[in-house]
Amino acid sequence: MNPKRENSSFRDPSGFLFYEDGILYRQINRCYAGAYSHFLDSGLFTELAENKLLIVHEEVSRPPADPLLGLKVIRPSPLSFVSYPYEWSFGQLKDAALLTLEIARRSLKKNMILKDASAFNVQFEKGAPIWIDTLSFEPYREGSPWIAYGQFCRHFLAPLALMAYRDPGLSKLSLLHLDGLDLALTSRLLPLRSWLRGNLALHLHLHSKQKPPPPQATRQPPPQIGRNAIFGILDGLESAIGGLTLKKENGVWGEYYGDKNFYKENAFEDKKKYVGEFFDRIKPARVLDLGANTGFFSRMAQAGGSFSISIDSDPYCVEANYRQMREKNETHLLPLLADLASPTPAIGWDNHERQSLKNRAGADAVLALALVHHLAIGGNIPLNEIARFFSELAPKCAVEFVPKNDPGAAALLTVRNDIFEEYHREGFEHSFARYFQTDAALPLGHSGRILYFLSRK
Amino acid sequence: MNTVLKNTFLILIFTAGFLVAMPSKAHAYIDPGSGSYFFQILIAGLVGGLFALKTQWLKITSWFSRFGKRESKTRK
Repeated sequence: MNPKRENSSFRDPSGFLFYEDGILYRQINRCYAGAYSHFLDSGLFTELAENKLLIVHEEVSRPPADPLLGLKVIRPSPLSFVSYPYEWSFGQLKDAALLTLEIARRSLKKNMILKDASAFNVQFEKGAPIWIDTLSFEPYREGSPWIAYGQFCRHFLAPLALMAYRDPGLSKLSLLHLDGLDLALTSRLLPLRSWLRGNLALHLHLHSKQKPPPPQATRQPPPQIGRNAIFGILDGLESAIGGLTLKKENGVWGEYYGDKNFYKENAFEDKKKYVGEFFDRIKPARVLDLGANTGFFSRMAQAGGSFSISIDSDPYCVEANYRQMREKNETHLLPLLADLASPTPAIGWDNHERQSLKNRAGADAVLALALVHHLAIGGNIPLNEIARFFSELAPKCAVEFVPKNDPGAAALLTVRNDIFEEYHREGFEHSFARYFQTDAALPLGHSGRILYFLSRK
Repeated sequence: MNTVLKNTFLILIFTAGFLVAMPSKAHAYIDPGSGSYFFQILIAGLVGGLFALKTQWLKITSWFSRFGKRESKTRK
Protein backbone atom coordinates (compact mmCIF):
# COMPACT_ATOMS: atom_id res chain seq x y z
CA MET A 1 0.00 0.00 0.00
CA ASN A 2 1.33 3.45 -0.92
CA PRO A 3 2.05 5.96 1.85
CA LYS A 4 -0.69 8.55 2.24
CA ARG A 5 0.18 11.96 3.64
CA GLU A 6 -1.80 13.23 6.59
CA ASN A 7 -3.91 16.14 5.33
CA SER A 8 -2.95 18.49 8.15
CA SER A 9 0.80 17.96 7.79
CA PHE A 10 2.12 20.20 5.04
CA ARG A 11 3.22 23.54 6.48
CA ASP A 12 6.47 22.64 8.20
CA PRO A 13 9.35 21.88 5.78
CA SER A 14 11.08 19.89 8.56
CA GLY A 15 8.98 16.81 7.82
CA PHE A 16 5.47 15.42 7.55
CA LEU A 17 3.14 12.70 8.78
CA PHE A 18 2.00 9.85 6.60
CA TYR A 19 0.01 6.64 6.92
CA GLU A 20 0.93 3.22 5.67
CA ASP A 21 -1.08 0.07 6.40
CA GLY A 22 -3.03 2.05 8.97
CA ILE A 23 0.09 3.07 10.91
CA LEU A 24 1.04 6.71 11.36
CA TYR A 25 4.68 7.64 10.68
CA ARG A 26 6.57 10.92 10.65
CA GLN A 27 9.22 11.60 8.06
CA ILE A 28 12.05 13.85 9.19
CA ASN A 29 13.58 15.79 6.34
CA ARG A 30 17.30 16.39 5.78
CA CYS A 31 16.90 20.11 6.39
CA TYR A 32 15.95 19.29 10.00
CA ALA A 33 18.95 16.99 10.61
CA GLY A 34 20.92 19.48 12.74
CA ALA A 35 17.94 20.49 14.86
CA TYR A 36 16.91 16.88 15.39
CA SER A 37 20.43 15.91 16.53
CA HIS A 38 20.47 18.85 18.93
CA PHE A 39 17.02 17.85 20.19
CA LEU A 40 18.25 14.33 21.04
CA ASP A 41 21.82 15.16 22.13
CA SER A 42 20.78 18.01 24.45
CA GLY A 43 18.63 15.58 26.41
CA LEU A 44 15.53 17.69 25.71
CA PHE A 45 13.63 14.86 24.06
CA THR A 46 14.32 12.51 26.97
CA GLU A 47 13.37 15.16 29.51
CA LEU A 48 10.08 16.03 27.79
CA ALA A 49 9.20 12.39 27.14
CA GLU A 50 10.00 11.27 30.70
CA ASN A 51 7.81 14.04 32.09
CA LYS A 52 5.00 13.03 29.73
CA LEU A 53 5.00 16.45 28.09
CA LEU A 54 5.83 15.19 24.60
CA ILE A 55 4.62 12.16 22.71
CA VAL A 56 7.20 9.37 22.57
CA HIS A 57 8.32 7.80 19.31
CA GLU A 58 10.61 5.11 17.98
CA GLU A 59 12.91 5.39 15.00
CA VAL A 60 12.01 2.80 12.38
CA SER A 61 14.08 1.39 9.56
CA ARG A 62 11.52 1.82 6.77
CA PRO A 63 12.55 4.15 3.90
CA PRO A 64 11.22 7.74 3.82
CA ALA A 65 7.92 8.31 2.00
CA ASP A 66 9.64 11.09 0.06
CA PRO A 67 13.23 9.86 -0.46
CA LEU A 68 14.38 13.11 -2.08
CA LEU A 69 13.81 15.05 1.13
CA GLY A 70 13.83 12.35 3.77
CA LEU A 71 16.44 11.76 6.44
CA LYS A 72 14.70 9.19 8.60
CA VAL A 73 11.28 7.97 9.71
CA ILE A 74 9.90 7.81 13.22
CA ARG A 75 6.76 6.16 14.50
CA PRO A 76 4.96 8.26 17.13
CA SER A 77 3.01 6.48 19.82
CA PRO A 78 -0.60 6.26 18.53
CA LEU A 79 -3.28 8.58 19.94
CA SER A 80 -6.66 7.39 21.18
CA PHE A 81 -8.48 10.26 19.48
CA VAL A 82 -7.63 13.50 17.71
CA SER A 83 -9.59 16.48 19.02
CA TYR A 84 -9.35 20.17 18.13
CA PRO A 85 -9.09 23.30 20.30
CA TYR A 86 -12.58 24.48 19.30
CA GLU A 87 -13.91 21.27 20.87
CA TRP A 88 -12.25 21.87 24.24
CA SER A 89 -13.59 23.36 27.42
CA PHE A 90 -11.92 26.29 29.18
CA GLY A 91 -9.90 24.00 31.46
CA GLN A 92 -8.69 21.89 28.54
CA LEU A 93 -7.46 24.92 26.61
CA LYS A 94 -5.88 26.38 29.74
CA ASP A 95 -4.01 23.16 30.52
CA ALA A 96 -2.88 22.95 26.89
CA ALA A 97 -1.58 26.55 27.13
CA LEU A 98 0.32 25.88 30.34
CA LEU A 99 1.82 22.73 28.81
CA THR A 100 3.03 24.77 25.83
CA LEU A 101 4.70 27.35 28.08
CA GLU A 102 6.32 24.63 30.19
CA ILE A 103 7.75 23.01 27.07
CA ALA A 104 8.97 26.37 25.76
CA ARG A 105 10.73 27.08 29.08
CA ARG A 106 12.40 23.67 29.28
CA SER A 107 13.47 23.99 25.64
CA LEU A 108 15.14 27.35 26.22
CA LYS A 109 17.05 25.94 29.17
CA LYS A 110 18.45 23.33 26.74
CA ASN A 111 19.30 25.96 24.13
CA MET A 112 16.33 25.18 21.93
CA ILE A 113 13.21 27.16 21.19
CA LEU A 114 9.64 26.19 20.35
CA LYS A 115 9.29 27.34 16.77
CA ASP A 116 5.51 27.07 16.74
CA ALA A 117 2.89 27.28 19.43
CA SER A 118 -0.20 26.01 17.66
CA ALA A 119 -2.95 24.65 19.89
CA PHE A 120 -3.38 21.89 17.29
CA ASN A 121 -0.03 20.52 18.48
CA VAL A 122 -1.63 19.51 21.77
CA GLN A 123 -3.78 16.44 22.23
CA PHE A 124 -5.35 14.81 25.27
CA GLU A 125 -4.02 11.32 25.88
CA LYS A 126 -4.54 9.17 28.95
CA GLY A 127 -6.27 12.02 30.73
CA ALA A 128 -3.65 14.73 30.24
CA PRO A 129 -2.51 17.16 27.55
CA ILE A 130 0.55 16.17 25.56
CA TRP A 131 2.58 17.89 22.80
CA ILE A 132 2.48 15.82 19.63
CA ASP A 133 4.77 17.64 17.19
CA THR A 134 8.28 16.25 17.58
CA LEU A 135 9.62 18.70 14.97
CA SER A 136 8.59 21.90 16.79
CA PHE A 137 12.04 22.49 18.26
CA GLU A 138 14.93 24.38 16.75
CA PRO A 139 18.27 25.52 18.13
CA TYR A 140 18.03 28.82 19.97
CA ARG A 141 20.06 31.61 18.39
CA GLU A 142 21.22 34.08 21.00
CA GLY A 143 19.46 37.41 20.50
CA SER A 144 16.46 36.06 18.54
CA PRO A 145 12.91 36.78 19.69
CA TRP A 146 10.47 33.92 20.34
CA ILE A 147 9.10 33.45 16.87
CA ALA A 148 5.91 31.73 18.07
CA TYR A 149 4.95 34.46 20.55
CA GLY A 150 2.17 35.93 18.40
CA GLN A 151 0.84 32.49 17.56
CA PHE A 152 0.72 31.53 21.23
CA CYS A 153 -1.27 34.67 22.07
CA ARG A 154 -3.72 34.05 19.22
CA HIS A 155 -4.18 30.32 19.87
CA PHE A 156 -4.32 30.36 23.66
CA LEU A 157 -4.35 33.72 25.42
CA ALA A 158 -7.04 35.36 23.27
CA PRO A 159 -9.66 32.56 23.38
CA LEU A 160 -9.02 31.91 27.07
CA ALA A 161 -9.51 35.58 27.93
CA LEU A 162 -12.78 35.68 25.99
CA MET A 163 -13.98 32.47 27.64
CA ALA A 164 -13.12 33.77 31.10
CA TYR A 165 -14.47 37.31 30.68
CA ARG A 166 -17.37 36.73 28.29
CA ASP A 167 -18.58 33.16 27.73
CA PRO A 168 -16.96 29.70 27.92
CA GLY A 169 -18.63 28.73 24.63
CA LEU A 170 -16.39 31.20 22.79
CA SER A 171 -13.72 28.54 22.22
CA LYS A 172 -15.76 27.91 19.08
CA LEU A 173 -14.56 31.23 17.66
CA SER A 174 -11.35 29.37 16.82
CA LEU A 175 -13.35 27.57 14.13
CA LEU A 176 -13.45 30.84 12.21
CA HIS A 177 -9.82 31.69 12.90
CA LEU A 178 -7.78 28.58 12.25
CA ASP A 179 -4.48 30.25 13.08
CA GLY A 180 -5.83 31.76 16.26
CA LEU A 181 -8.03 34.71 17.12
CA ASP A 182 -7.14 38.12 15.81
CA LEU A 183 -5.79 40.05 18.80
CA ALA A 184 -7.32 43.37 17.78
CA LEU A 185 -10.75 41.72 17.50
CA THR A 186 -10.28 40.01 20.87
CA SER A 187 -9.20 43.26 22.48
CA ARG A 188 -12.37 44.98 21.23
CA LEU A 189 -14.57 42.13 22.50
CA LEU A 190 -13.09 42.09 26.01
CA PRO A 191 -14.48 44.32 28.77
CA LEU A 192 -12.54 47.37 29.91
CA ARG A 193 -11.79 45.80 33.28
CA SER A 194 -9.58 43.23 31.52
CA TRP A 195 -7.05 46.11 31.12
CA LEU A 196 -6.57 46.06 34.87
CA ARG A 197 -4.61 42.81 34.69
CA GLY A 198 -1.05 43.82 33.84
CA ASN A 199 0.04 40.77 31.88
CA LEU A 200 -3.23 40.57 29.97
CA ALA A 201 -3.06 44.29 29.17
CA LEU A 202 0.49 43.83 27.95
CA HIS A 203 0.39 40.56 26.02
CA LEU A 204 -3.09 40.99 24.58
CA HIS A 205 -4.37 44.57 24.52
CA LEU A 206 -1.13 46.46 23.89
CA HIS A 207 0.23 43.62 21.76
CA SER A 208 -2.83 43.96 19.50
CA LYS A 209 -2.05 47.64 18.89
CA GLN A 210 1.46 47.06 17.53
CA LYS A 211 1.57 48.01 13.87
CA PRO A 212 4.02 46.47 11.37
CA PRO A 213 7.06 48.70 10.70
CA PRO A 214 7.39 50.74 7.49
CA PRO A 215 8.91 48.67 4.64
CA GLN A 216 12.05 50.83 4.29
CA ALA A 217 13.09 49.84 7.82
CA THR A 218 13.67 46.19 6.87
CA ARG A 219 17.31 46.70 5.79
CA GLN A 220 18.45 47.79 9.20
CA PRO A 221 20.46 45.32 11.33
CA PRO A 222 18.36 42.83 13.30
CA PRO A 223 17.64 43.82 16.89
CA GLN A 224 18.70 41.60 19.77
CA ILE A 225 16.49 40.34 22.55
CA GLY A 226 18.03 38.70 25.58
CA ARG A 227 17.28 35.18 26.74
CA ASN A 228 16.03 36.63 30.00
CA ALA A 229 13.42 38.63 28.09
CA ILE A 230 12.07 35.42 26.57
CA PHE A 231 11.92 33.82 29.99
CA GLY A 232 10.14 36.98 31.13
CA ILE A 233 7.61 36.72 28.31
CA LEU A 234 6.95 33.05 29.13
CA ASP A 235 6.57 33.94 32.80
CA GLY A 236 4.20 36.82 32.03
CA LEU A 237 2.07 34.64 29.76
CA GLU A 238 1.90 31.99 32.45
CA SER A 239 0.73 34.59 34.98
CA ALA A 240 -1.83 35.97 32.54
CA ILE A 241 -3.25 32.53 31.80
CA GLY A 242 -2.99 31.24 35.36
CA GLY A 243 -5.06 34.23 36.51
CA LEU A 244 -7.95 33.49 34.14
CA THR A 245 -10.81 31.52 35.67
CA LEU A 246 -14.40 30.77 34.75
CA LYS A 247 -17.10 32.68 36.60
CA LYS A 248 -18.98 29.56 37.64
CA GLU A 249 -16.21 28.31 39.85
CA ASN A 250 -16.12 27.69 43.59
CA GLY A 251 -17.34 24.17 43.99
CA VAL A 252 -20.48 23.95 41.90
CA TRP A 253 -18.91 21.84 39.18
CA GLY A 254 -19.37 18.45 40.79
CA GLU A 255 -23.12 18.95 41.17
CA TYR A 256 -23.81 19.97 37.63
CA TYR A 257 -26.08 17.27 36.26
CA GLY A 258 -29.16 18.84 34.70
CA ASP A 259 -31.30 16.04 33.31
CA LYS A 260 -31.26 13.91 36.46
CA ASN A 261 -34.16 16.00 37.81
CA PHE A 262 -36.45 14.72 35.08
CA TYR A 263 -36.34 11.07 36.16
CA LYS A 264 -39.31 9.63 38.00
CA GLU A 265 -39.07 6.93 40.66
CA ASN A 266 -36.65 4.17 39.69
CA ALA A 267 -36.12 5.28 36.12
CA PHE A 268 -32.56 6.42 36.69
CA GLU A 269 -31.67 3.21 38.59
CA ASP A 270 -33.11 1.14 35.73
CA LYS A 271 -31.14 3.18 33.23
CA LYS A 272 -27.87 2.57 35.07
CA LYS A 273 -28.56 -1.16 35.29
CA TYR A 274 -29.47 -1.53 31.62
CA VAL A 275 -26.60 0.59 30.33
CA GLY A 276 -24.26 -1.60 32.41
CA GLU A 277 -25.77 -4.67 30.75
CA PHE A 278 -25.31 -3.07 27.33
CA PHE A 279 -21.58 -2.60 27.99
CA ASP A 280 -21.23 -6.11 29.43
CA ARG A 281 -22.92 -7.57 26.39
CA ILE A 282 -20.85 -5.90 23.67
CA LYS A 283 -17.64 -4.92 25.49
CA PRO A 284 -16.87 -1.95 23.22
CA ALA A 285 -13.27 -0.76 22.89
CA ARG A 286 -14.49 2.76 22.08
CA VAL A 287 -17.76 4.36 23.13
CA LEU A 288 -19.21 7.55 21.77
CA ASP A 289 -21.34 9.09 24.51
CA LEU A 290 -23.52 11.65 22.72
CA GLY A 291 -25.14 14.28 24.94
CA ALA A 292 -22.97 13.01 27.78
CA ASN A 293 -23.74 15.82 30.23
CA THR A 294 -20.96 15.55 32.85
CA GLY A 295 -20.00 12.04 31.77
CA PHE A 296 -21.79 9.79 34.27
CA PHE A 297 -22.37 7.01 31.73
CA SER A 298 -19.00 7.58 30.03
CA ARG A 299 -17.47 6.69 33.37
CA MET A 300 -19.49 3.49 33.50
CA ALA A 301 -17.98 2.57 30.13
CA GLN A 302 -14.54 3.56 31.38
CA ALA A 303 -14.94 1.34 34.44
CA GLY A 304 -15.56 -1.57 32.08
CA GLY A 305 -12.31 -0.87 30.22
CA SER A 306 -13.72 1.11 27.28
CA PHE A 307 -12.36 4.44 26.06
CA SER A 308 -15.18 7.00 26.07
CA ILE A 309 -15.53 10.14 24.02
CA SER A 310 -17.89 12.17 26.12
CA ILE A 311 -19.60 14.83 24.00
CA ASP A 312 -21.89 17.61 25.12
CA SER A 313 -22.94 21.00 23.77
CA ASP A 314 -22.95 22.75 27.17
CA PRO A 315 -19.49 24.21 27.88
CA TYR A 316 -20.13 24.10 31.64
CA CYS A 317 -20.94 20.36 31.48
CA VAL A 318 -17.79 19.68 29.47
CA GLU A 319 -15.76 21.73 31.94
CA ALA A 320 -17.23 19.83 34.91
CA ASN A 321 -16.54 16.55 33.11
CA TYR A 322 -12.93 17.56 32.42
CA ARG A 323 -12.30 18.71 35.99
CA GLN A 324 -13.60 15.44 37.32
CA MET A 325 -11.35 13.56 34.91
CA ARG A 326 -8.27 15.50 36.07
CA GLU A 327 -9.11 15.26 39.76
CA LYS A 328 -9.57 11.51 39.59
CA ASN A 329 -6.67 10.94 37.17
CA GLU A 330 -8.99 9.17 34.76
CA THR A 331 -7.26 7.89 31.65
CA HIS A 332 -9.97 6.38 29.43
CA LEU A 333 -12.12 9.40 28.88
CA LEU A 334 -12.15 12.48 26.66
CA PRO A 335 -14.71 15.24 27.34
CA LEU A 336 -15.50 17.23 24.19
CA LEU A 337 -17.63 20.24 23.31
CA ALA A 338 -19.81 19.80 20.23
CA ASP A 339 -23.34 20.54 19.13
CA LEU A 340 -24.66 17.31 17.63
CA ALA A 341 -27.27 19.22 15.61
CA SER A 342 -24.29 20.80 13.85
CA PRO A 343 -21.19 18.68 14.54
CA THR A 344 -17.71 20.13 14.04
CA PRO A 345 -17.21 20.58 10.27
CA ALA A 346 -14.14 19.79 8.18
CA ILE A 347 -12.20 23.02 7.73
CA GLY A 348 -8.86 24.48 6.73
CA TRP A 349 -6.95 24.19 3.48
CA ASP A 350 -8.99 22.46 0.76
CA ASN A 351 -11.62 21.76 3.43
CA HIS A 352 -9.75 18.75 4.69
CA GLU A 353 -6.91 20.06 6.84
CA ARG A 354 -8.99 19.53 9.99
CA GLN A 355 -11.48 16.69 9.86
CA SER A 356 -15.15 16.75 10.72
CA LEU A 357 -16.21 15.25 14.03
CA LYS A 358 -18.13 12.55 12.21
CA ASN A 359 -15.04 11.48 10.29
CA ARG A 360 -13.06 11.08 13.50
CA ALA A 361 -15.76 9.74 15.76
CA GLY A 362 -16.28 6.17 14.56
CA ALA A 363 -16.74 3.87 17.56
CA ASP A 364 -17.85 0.41 18.58
CA ALA A 365 -20.90 1.73 20.38
CA VAL A 366 -22.98 4.88 20.52
CA LEU A 367 -24.70 5.91 23.70
CA ALA A 368 -27.51 8.39 23.05
CA LEU A 369 -29.28 8.84 26.37
CA ALA A 370 -31.92 11.53 26.73
CA LEU A 371 -30.65 13.04 23.49
CA VAL A 372 -33.06 12.19 20.68
CA HIS A 373 -35.85 14.52 21.90
CA HIS A 374 -33.36 17.41 21.92
CA LEU A 375 -32.44 16.71 18.30
CA ALA A 376 -35.95 15.84 17.08
CA ILE A 377 -38.03 18.42 18.99
CA GLY A 378 -35.38 20.99 19.91
CA GLY A 379 -33.62 20.83 16.55
CA ASN A 380 -36.44 19.79 14.13
CA ILE A 381 -34.32 16.89 12.87
CA PRO A 382 -36.46 13.99 11.50
CA LEU A 383 -36.17 10.71 13.44
CA ASN A 384 -35.02 8.74 10.37
CA GLU A 385 -32.17 11.23 9.88
CA ILE A 386 -31.11 10.75 13.50
CA ALA A 387 -31.23 6.96 13.03
CA ARG A 388 -29.09 7.19 9.88
CA PHE A 389 -26.57 9.44 11.63
CA PHE A 390 -26.18 7.01 14.53
CA SER A 391 -25.88 4.04 12.16
CA GLU A 392 -22.95 5.74 10.44
CA LEU A 393 -21.11 6.17 13.73
CA ALA A 394 -21.19 2.69 15.27
CA PRO A 395 -22.57 -0.82 14.75
CA LYS A 396 -24.20 -0.89 18.20
CA CYS A 397 -26.31 1.76 19.88
CA ALA A 398 -28.12 2.26 23.14
CA VAL A 399 -30.75 4.93 22.49
CA GLU A 400 -33.23 6.33 24.97
CA PHE A 401 -36.66 7.36 23.74
CA VAL A 402 -38.28 10.13 25.78
CA PRO A 403 -42.04 10.51 25.14
CA LYS A 404 -43.69 13.91 24.62
CA ASN A 405 -45.43 13.83 27.99
CA ASP A 406 -42.12 13.39 29.84
CA PRO A 407 -41.11 16.62 31.64
CA GLY A 408 -37.80 16.62 29.71
CA ALA A 409 -39.57 16.61 26.31
CA ALA A 410 -42.54 18.69 27.47
CA ALA A 411 -40.14 21.46 28.49
CA LEU A 412 -39.11 21.74 24.83
CA LEU A 413 -42.74 22.13 23.75
CA THR A 414 -43.94 24.70 26.27
CA VAL A 415 -43.68 27.73 24.02
CA ARG A 416 -44.02 26.24 20.56
CA ASN A 417 -46.56 24.38 18.46
CA ASP A 418 -46.34 20.62 18.51
CA ILE A 419 -45.56 19.96 14.85
CA PHE A 420 -43.96 16.59 15.59
CA GLU A 421 -46.68 14.15 14.56
CA GLU A 422 -44.25 11.27 14.06
CA TYR A 423 -42.63 11.72 17.44
CA HIS A 424 -44.04 8.79 19.40
CA ARG A 425 -42.88 5.29 20.27
CA GLU A 426 -44.13 3.69 17.05
CA GLY A 427 -42.69 6.50 14.94
CA PHE A 428 -39.35 6.10 16.68
CA GLU A 429 -39.30 2.32 16.18
CA HIS A 430 -40.34 2.66 12.54
CA SER A 431 -37.60 5.22 11.80
CA PHE A 432 -34.85 3.25 13.52
CA ALA A 433 -35.96 -0.08 11.97
CA ARG A 434 -34.71 1.13 8.61
CA TYR A 435 -31.11 1.10 9.85
CA PHE A 436 -31.15 -1.10 12.96
CA GLN A 437 -32.61 -4.25 14.34
CA THR A 438 -33.86 -3.98 17.90
CA ASP A 439 -32.10 -6.29 20.36
CA ALA A 440 -34.04 -5.05 23.37
CA ALA A 441 -36.62 -2.39 24.30
CA LEU A 442 -36.51 -1.76 28.02
CA PRO A 443 -38.96 0.52 29.87
CA LEU A 444 -37.26 2.73 32.45
CA GLY A 445 -39.40 2.45 35.60
CA HIS A 446 -42.81 4.01 35.07
CA SER A 447 -41.38 7.08 33.39
CA GLY A 448 -42.60 6.17 29.91
CA ARG A 449 -39.01 6.35 28.68
CA ILE A 450 -37.66 3.33 26.81
CA LEU A 451 -34.07 2.27 26.34
CA TYR A 452 -33.37 0.49 23.05
CA PHE A 453 -30.40 -1.73 22.33
CA LEU A 454 -29.86 -1.60 18.59
CA SER A 455 -27.61 -3.44 16.09
CA ARG A 456 -26.86 -1.96 12.69
CA LYS A 457 -28.41 -3.87 9.78
CA MET B 1 -3.41 47.06 46.40
CA ASN B 2 0.20 46.24 45.54
CA THR B 3 -0.88 44.21 42.52
CA VAL B 4 -3.10 47.03 41.27
CA LEU B 5 -0.22 49.50 41.57
CA LYS B 6 2.15 47.11 39.82
CA ASN B 7 -0.32 46.55 36.99
CA THR B 8 -1.06 50.26 36.60
CA PHE B 9 2.67 50.96 36.50
CA LEU B 10 3.18 48.31 33.82
CA ILE B 11 0.32 49.63 31.71
CA LEU B 12 1.44 53.25 32.02
CA ILE B 13 4.99 52.45 31.01
CA PHE B 14 3.86 50.65 27.88
CA THR B 15 1.16 53.04 26.89
CA ALA B 16 3.65 55.89 27.18
CA GLY B 17 6.52 54.09 25.48
CA PHE B 18 4.61 52.55 22.62
CA LEU B 19 6.93 53.12 19.70
CA VAL B 20 7.76 51.19 16.58
CA ALA B 21 10.87 49.10 17.12
CA MET B 22 13.62 47.88 14.84
CA PRO B 23 12.83 45.16 12.29
CA SER B 24 14.60 41.92 11.47
CA LYS B 25 14.19 38.77 9.39
CA ALA B 26 12.05 35.98 10.82
CA HIS B 27 13.71 32.55 10.70
CA ALA B 28 10.74 30.23 10.93
CA TYR B 29 8.17 28.59 8.72
CA ILE B 30 5.22 30.19 10.48
CA ASP B 31 4.41 33.81 9.91
CA PRO B 32 5.23 35.36 13.26
CA GLY B 33 3.16 38.44 12.40
CA SER B 34 5.47 41.41 12.16
CA GLY B 35 3.46 43.27 14.83
CA SER B 36 4.06 40.46 17.36
CA TYR B 37 7.71 40.26 16.37
CA PHE B 38 8.39 43.93 16.98
CA PHE B 39 6.24 44.07 20.05
CA GLN B 40 8.52 41.50 21.70
CA ILE B 41 11.53 43.63 20.95
CA LEU B 42 9.75 46.65 22.37
CA ILE B 43 8.88 44.94 25.65
CA ALA B 44 12.10 42.92 25.95
CA GLY B 45 13.89 45.33 28.28
CA LEU B 46 11.07 45.61 30.76
CA VAL B 47 9.94 41.97 30.90
CA GLY B 48 13.57 40.79 30.96
CA GLY B 49 14.37 43.18 33.80
CA LEU B 50 11.27 42.24 35.78
CA PHE B 51 12.01 38.57 35.30
CA ALA B 52 15.59 39.03 36.53
CA LEU B 53 14.30 40.89 39.59
CA LYS B 54 11.73 38.20 40.26
CA THR B 55 14.36 35.45 39.97
CA GLN B 56 16.66 37.25 42.39
CA TRP B 57 13.80 37.90 44.77
CA LEU B 58 12.81 34.21 44.73
CA LYS B 59 16.45 33.26 45.43
CA ILE B 60 16.57 35.62 48.40
CA THR B 61 13.24 34.45 49.84
CA SER B 62 14.16 30.78 49.37
CA TRP B 63 17.53 31.42 51.08
CA PHE B 64 15.75 33.06 54.00
CA SER B 65 13.17 30.30 54.21
CA ARG B 66 15.99 27.72 54.34
CA PHE B 67 17.76 29.80 56.91
CA GLY B 68 14.51 30.00 58.86
CA LYS B 69 14.10 26.23 58.74
CA ARG B 70 17.64 25.69 60.02
CA GLU B 71 16.95 28.19 62.77
CA SER B 72 13.80 26.38 63.80
CA LYS B 73 15.64 23.05 63.74
CA THR B 74 18.45 24.34 65.95
CA ARG B 75 15.89 25.81 68.30
CA LYS B 76 14.37 22.37 68.70
